[in-house]
Formats: sequence, structure tokens, C-alpha cells
Amino acid sequence: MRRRILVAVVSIIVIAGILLALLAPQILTQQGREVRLVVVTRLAPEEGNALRERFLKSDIAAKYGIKDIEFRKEDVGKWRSFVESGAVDVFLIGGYAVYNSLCRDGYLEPITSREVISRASSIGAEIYRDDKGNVCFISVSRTIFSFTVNNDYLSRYSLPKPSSWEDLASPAFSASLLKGDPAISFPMPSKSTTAARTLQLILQKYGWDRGWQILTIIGANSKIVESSEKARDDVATGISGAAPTVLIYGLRAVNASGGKAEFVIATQGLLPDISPVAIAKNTKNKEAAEAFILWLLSDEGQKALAELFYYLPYQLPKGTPLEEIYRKATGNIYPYDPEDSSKWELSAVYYFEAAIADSDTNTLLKKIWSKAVSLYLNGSISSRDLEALVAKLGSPLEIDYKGAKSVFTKEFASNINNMLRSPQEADLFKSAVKKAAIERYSSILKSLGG
Amino acid sequence: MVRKAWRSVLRVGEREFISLVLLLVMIFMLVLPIVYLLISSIDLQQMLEILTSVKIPPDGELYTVYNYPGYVLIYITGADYGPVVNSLLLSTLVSLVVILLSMITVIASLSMSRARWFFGYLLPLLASIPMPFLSAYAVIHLFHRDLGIVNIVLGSLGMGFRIAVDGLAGIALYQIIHFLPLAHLFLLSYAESIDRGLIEASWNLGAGARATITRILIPIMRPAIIAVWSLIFILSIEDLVGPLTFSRHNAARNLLSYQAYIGFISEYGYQVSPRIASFVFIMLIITIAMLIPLYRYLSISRLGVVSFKRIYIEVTGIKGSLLRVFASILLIISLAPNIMVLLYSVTKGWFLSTSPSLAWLDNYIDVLISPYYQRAVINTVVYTLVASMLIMILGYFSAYASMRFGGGIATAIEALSIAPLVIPGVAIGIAYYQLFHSVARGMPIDPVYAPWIYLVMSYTIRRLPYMVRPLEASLQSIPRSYEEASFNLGSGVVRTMWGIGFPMIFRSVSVGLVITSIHVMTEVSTSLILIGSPAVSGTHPSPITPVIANLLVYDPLLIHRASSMLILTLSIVIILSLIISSIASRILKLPRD
Repeated sequence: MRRRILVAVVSIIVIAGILLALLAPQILTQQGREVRLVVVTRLAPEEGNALRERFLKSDIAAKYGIKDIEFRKEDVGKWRSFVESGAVDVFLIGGYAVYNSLCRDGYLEPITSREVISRASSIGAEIYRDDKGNVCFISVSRTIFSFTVNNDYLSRYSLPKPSSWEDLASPAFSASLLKGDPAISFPMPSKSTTAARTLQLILQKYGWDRGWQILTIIGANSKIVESSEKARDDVATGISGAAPTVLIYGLRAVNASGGKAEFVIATQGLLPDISPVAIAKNTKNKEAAEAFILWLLSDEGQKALAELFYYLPYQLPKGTPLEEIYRKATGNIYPYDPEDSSKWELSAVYYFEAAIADSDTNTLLKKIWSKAVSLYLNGSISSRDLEALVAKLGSPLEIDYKGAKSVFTKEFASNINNMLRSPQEADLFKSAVKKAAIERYSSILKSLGG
Repeated sequence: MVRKAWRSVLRVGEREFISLVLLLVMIFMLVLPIVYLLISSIDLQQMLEILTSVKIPPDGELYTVYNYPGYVLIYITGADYGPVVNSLLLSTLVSLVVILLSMITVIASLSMSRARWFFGYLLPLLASIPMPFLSAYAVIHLFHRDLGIVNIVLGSLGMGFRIAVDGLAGIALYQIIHFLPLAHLFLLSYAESIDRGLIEASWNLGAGARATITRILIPIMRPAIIAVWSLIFILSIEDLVGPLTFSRHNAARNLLSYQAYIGFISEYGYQVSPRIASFVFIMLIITIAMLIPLYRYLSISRLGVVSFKRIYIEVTGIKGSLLRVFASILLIISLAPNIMVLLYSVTKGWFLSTSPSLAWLDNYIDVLISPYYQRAVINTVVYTLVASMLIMILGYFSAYASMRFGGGIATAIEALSIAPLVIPGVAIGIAYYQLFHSVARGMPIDPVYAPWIYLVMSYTIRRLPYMVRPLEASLQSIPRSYEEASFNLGSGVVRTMWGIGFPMIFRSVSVGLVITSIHVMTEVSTSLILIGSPAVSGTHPSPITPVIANLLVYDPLLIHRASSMLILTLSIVIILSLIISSIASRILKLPRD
């Protein structure tokens, strides 16, 4: 009898646990027929939590009966699956290219609320339409990408404070590399929007060939890390001297470091980015979704975006630290062209990861650059020699891909960009790039006597 | 009734029916996803490329000495031979060092009398509690070249040198500290099961401590030593936390587990490319290659974790004292990362700083008042309890079948119940996603929308061996006459195994329940892969490990909150496991000690 009770207790625990996990969300949302919005986003969970608390306290949430709003940070690769299953109402934050392709492929519900469109126009928020003139997505704020430095680290290794992207690739900024500690933490661009944008900015600003040369030396002078967050933490703690960061991460590093870190406004090198919001096709809560967008565009929402995430709102954030950043940023924003970079984004990311960030190629690059900087610092080679070496090292590689040899030009990168969405093709491409890079680097290292 | 109907359809006996069901469940939960992953994605060219990417001579030096004003820095990193050789060398080195050190601590523990419960059991039990991410973070906090506590202390003592451990050497150090207590517990438990008559006979025949240890103890322990060595080898090769922590150094990224994981996670979505499948396949080949020749040892050394004190080895004199002091220091060092995590949970502002301030329970309160953290804690507790119960049921059936049924199917069940030990968590996570996302794409049971189903399944199968092995050890030690009497009185197999066998080994079940619960709730690889980033709401499906990973990436200062969440959840899970064991023990009317 007692054993039967035990079997019953165990069974009840198993069944109750399964039912609890399965039904809890549904039970909670069905109470009182509440509206619960699901927002798929690239915001970090903590950020989503902060925005959720602000929004749920607002009059707009109360007016439209929105009792809860769930922010799910999901990889963009999963976004279309969410639309197909009707499991998402709103998309918030992410790159222009992502929203553009969702719009083009019919995954977005047009925003039709006159109130929303009129509010967006009145504050100067950018509105993006499809070919038929429907409003596909709206930018509710902007942000800027630059880099953050740790002044303690810089003084520990007597490194000059960089003020531009080129400075990060200078021999003077490589002194710590000679002690076995690369000064920069650079995230892998396939895992970090910040790194992907940095690649695009440098390639647009300095041109394709010179851009790759700068990126190659930055790579040689970097600890390659998995995420923007790890790069930010490194620069906040003083594990590294510099890291590319989006404004909010830079300011968070400043706070976490107790003021040792500093967000640098790169000279003529700030990359602006939009913070898009869109309504998902198949949503059952369009009215509530538009209400959320209206709140984001309202004075209250704009203030929340500025205070919580240091996003630059469309209304000047008077009396906040962002006002000063607005002032400094003015005139340093690079006229970034997202349409252009979306044509070769994936090719550039995979090329960078194979030729520069791969553990084998990066080790070779570090050996070459350490040797070259040592020779330069002890006067064995001139600055012209060093520049020639950089050109030789960083110019786009000739790769043997799909049976043909091709130089990795911008045109070639654009041609193969869509093809690389297939994991098989991406593998083949990266293998070809890595092979070509190792051949070139080994030969250069040999010529330097390494 | 249903069971009888099925049996009549299948025309098999009760034993065969149970065996068949067990076998099918294990194949579904373990073999099928892995085979599907390999069949759907394997590519020979990528395999060959990986296998031939051996660097001879290796990149980098074992260590480098850098001159700084006033001191020299000894920077130990380890050389890079490429992913396959690095993984093999690292796992071989770590497992050998761990076995050597754990044999020292085991012998020292066996020579302790009153202190054995503390140094032999309590310290390593506490040290063996996994603290995912946080303990590896603590290792960096201890050993970083400029900011590590060890070097700060060396600097303040005016020493002319500093020591930094990074790259592959950093991972090795982390893994040795991490795995030592586990190996110690397994080996000590096995040693305690040795017939004390053999040890006493050795003393009576005039053998000293050295002869008794080398000629009696170690030879008898050989199966356990080999089994634990292979277990540590496999745990090392599949470890993801170490490589992720030390990945700033290129060589640390050149490991199979890291390459498989990092290729899978991408801003462009989860991608199972042929290269990733090849990394997984190579890891599997290595671990299965370990399993086959060593299966005999793994199979006969049914390891428990906590045993009664049964044998004593007298090691006297200064050598004996030195042995005990050295072993105690080793066990205390192995506990250091967990102590650091405990300290993180009650302090604030200790982010690579030497001057933390006390936060008392503030971090715990932060966790308790946030619906987002609450949900993670509740999810973890629910998943852990459900998975632990499933593990208990499946584990007892498996242990009973493999120990009592005999025949080919019983052998297959035993092999499959050991197999999760050798299949890396990364492989299971990726395989589950690949199979169930392909089959259930867009459905409510798609792992994208209902990851918890697959989390509970993967926890159950991955942690099954932690229950099965101790239960087999216990079943082996109980007389079979009671069960035979039960059969003679007309009871069936199920009634006998649950009515007679189960109460008799319930103490092992209780210990196994606590241990599996701890290991389920701290599981990392499959949780990270199946959950990705948790949603922000009071209803998200994530357990605590992905939330901790996200907290650490969101704001470094949140390490304190992450630590308190882990310790809080651990406490709840351990207390609940003990309560369940206690209630079950009362229901079964088991006598108290």
C-alpha cells in the first residue's frame, strides 16, 4: 500500500511538473482575457526587463489593456519561424538589413495607425516603406558605434590613447603585444553586431583594400572574443586596453570600471545605426502592437530609451549625459550606407573570421606583426617598409573557391554574399580563405626570419 | 492491462518487455538524435581537413618570460598543436594529473581517522558542486597576469616574479581544480568497499604503509582508477566552460568542444554546418574509442560517491603528516573557486577589484523580487525535480535490468546507460536541436517554442549514469534471496523490483537523487544550446544557467547577483531532494541509522 503511495507521489511530481511548465504561461495569460504582447528583439534580457517595467506602468498600456509584454532575445535566424507560427507580435532592435529583408519577403504587417505615423513624422523618426508605399518599419531611436578604452591599461603599457580606427592599427598601439598581451578585445563579427558594423564602417570609410589592411592589423593586435559583451567587460576590467562598443556598452563599461574606461568618439568615424521597430505578420494583437510603438515614440518612451539604453532619441535629451554625447558626436558621424554594406556583409564577416580571427591565422598574424613592430621600433625597418608590409599582409587574398581563383574584391564579395547563407557554402568559403591566408602569412613570416 | 495487451501482442515475457521498452527509450533519447545529426550533416572533406590540421612544430611556447620594471612575468600558456591533438593532450594531461592527485588525497584520507569525514568527504563534496561559469571566472580572478589575486599578493610581498596561467594551461588548471574532488570521491568510495581483511592481513604479515599501498591497495583499486581516469578524460574533452573562459588566447580556441559550439552559435541563427558535425563526430570517435577498451573497467567498477568508513591505512611519522597536510591543501585549493562564488554572492563591487564591500543578503533579495529571476529559479527547480524523478525511474529500471536480467539486451542496456558519460553535451544539444527542429518545425513542440521538453529529456539521459552506477553497486551488494522469495510467492518482475529491491537500496537512491539533482540544475551545454537567450518575462522557459550566462554578458557587475541565484537554487534543490528522500523513506518505513 505504502509503496503504491510512493509510486503515486513520484508520478504526481512528474506529471505536475510537466503540466506546470506546459500550462503556466497559458494560465497566466488567459486570466481576464488580457493582452500579452510578444516582442522578439536583440535587446539583452536585462534591457528588455527594464523596458517592460516602464511600459507596463504607462497610460497607453492601461488604455489598450496590455497586461504583460514579453521580450525574447532571439537569434535573427529564428525570427521568420516565429512569424510563421504567429508566436510574435512586434520586432524591436536589430540591423537595417534584417528588417529590410523581412519587409521585402512579406514577414511584416504594415503599420497603418495614423496616430503612430503622424507622431513618427512629427519627431523626425525615420519611416521605411515597401515598394507599395506601406510603412514596413520605423526607427524609434538611433545609436552610435565607436570604441572604448581603459586608461589604466593604456598607462600600464604606455600606449597612446587612440582617437581614430587607424590609431588602433598603429605600431605605437602594439607595445603590449610585444609583452604577449594584445591591447584590443575584438568580437567575432558573426556573434556580434558591433563587430559586424565596425567591419562595415572601416571598409566603407577607408575603402575596400585599405580597410582590410587596417582590419588585419587590428586583428593582429586583438584578443578575439565571442561577443560584444566579453569585449566590453575586458575593457571595463582592464584585461584589454580597447574594444569596439556600441554607445550603451561603452557607457556601461565606464560605470563598471569606476571611471577607468572611457567611450571615445572616433574622429570622423562614428557609425550611426537605427533602432527599428516593426509589426510581425500573423499577429493577433495589431492594435496593441501599434500602441506599443506609439509609446516608444511618445515623450515617455523616448525618455525611457535614452535613460535605460542610452539610445539617442529623436528628441534632444536635455539635462542627461546624452546631451553632451550629442554635442561631441555632431560632425563625427560617418555617412554610413547600410544598403551598400548589406550587399557584402556576410562575405566580409566570414572572410574576416577565416583570414583574421581564426585561431591559426590570428596566431600567425600576431607573430608577423610582433616581429615587424620590434624591427620597426629598433630601427631595422623604416615606416615605409612597415607600410609596405601592412599592404602585403592585409590586401584582399586571392582564393581558390569553387574551382576558380579570385581576388576577394568588393564585387566578388557581393556576388557570393547570398550563396554563403548555406552552411555548406560558408564552410567551403572559409576553408578556402584560411588556406590562402596561411600560405601568405607563412611566406611573409619566413621573409621576416620568423 | 495495457502492458499485458502489448506483451501478448509481442509474445514476450515481462523481463523482455521491460528490457525492450528501456532499450527503445534510450535509443530514442540518445542514439537517434546523434545518428540523425551525423547522417544529415557529415562531410568527409571537412573531417579530413580537421584531422590533418596538426601543427608540428606547435605554435607558441609552453611558457614565456617577460621582463617588467621590477619583476619578471612567467606567462604559462601551453603550445598549440591544432584542435584534435590539443584536445587529446589536454584531456590526457588533466586526467593523469587528476588521478595522481586524487590518489594522494584518497590515501591521505584513508590514513585519517576523525578528520576523514571533513577532509575526505565534506570538503570534496562541497568542491564537487559545479558552479558553471562562475568558478571559471573565479580562476581568472585568482590567476590573471595583472589583476589576479595571486599576482597582487606576490606584488604586495615584494616578490621579483609574477605567474600567469592562460590559454591551454589555464584550461588545464581550471579542469584539474574542477575535476579533482569528483575523482577523489569516486576513488575514496571504491577504496572504502575493499575488504578490510586484506589490509589487516598485510599489516599482520609485517608490511609497512608503502607496501600495503603499492601492493594491496592500488592493485585492488586498478579497475576504479582506470574507470575514473577515462571518466575525467571524457569530462575534460567535452568541457565547454574552460575553453570559453580562456578563449582570449588563440590556443584555447583550438579545442574540439569550443569549435563545435562556437560554429553553432551565430548572429545569423543556429547553423549545423558539415564542419560542426565533423567536430562533433571526431569528439564522439575519441570518446567511443575510449569506451570500448575500457568498458570492462567502467562496467565492473560501479562507483558510489559516499560510503561508510570501512578501512584505515596507517601512515605514521613525518612523511604521513606531510602527506595529510599536502592532501588537505589540495582539497582546500579545489574548494577555492566555490568559496569565491559564495563570497561573490554576499558582496558587491568585486569585479576584478581587491576591495569588495559586503552586501549581506541584498543580492539574494534582488533575485527573489524579480519575476524574471524567480521564473528561472522555479523553472530550474521544476525541471530538476521532473528530470530527477525520471532519472530515478529510468535509472532503477536500467540498473535492475543490467544486474538481474542477463543476456544481450541487458548488456545493451548497461552499455547505453554508460554511454551518456562519453557523449559530449555539445553533441547532444546540437543533435536534439537538429532532429526535433527538423521534425517538429513550426509545431508547438518545436524546440524553438518548447525547449523545456527537450531540456528535461536531455537532462534525463545525460545524467542517467550518475544514478545508474551507484544503484548497480548497491544491487550488487544485496542478497538475491529476498527477490527469489518474492518470485516464488508469485510476484512479477515489476512488483519484486519495486517492492523488494527498491526499498533495500533506497539509501543509494537518496544519495543518487541529491547528486543527480545538483548535476541536472548546473547543466550547461545543452541548456545553452536549446535555450539560447531566455525571454524576459515572468513566463520564460529558461533554467538558471543560460540566465547566468546572459547576466554575465549583460553587465559584469552582475556576477554577484548571478552567484546568489546559483546558490539560492542549489540550496532549494538540495533541500527539496532531501525532503523527498525523507518522505519516501518514511513511506517505505525504512529504519533510521
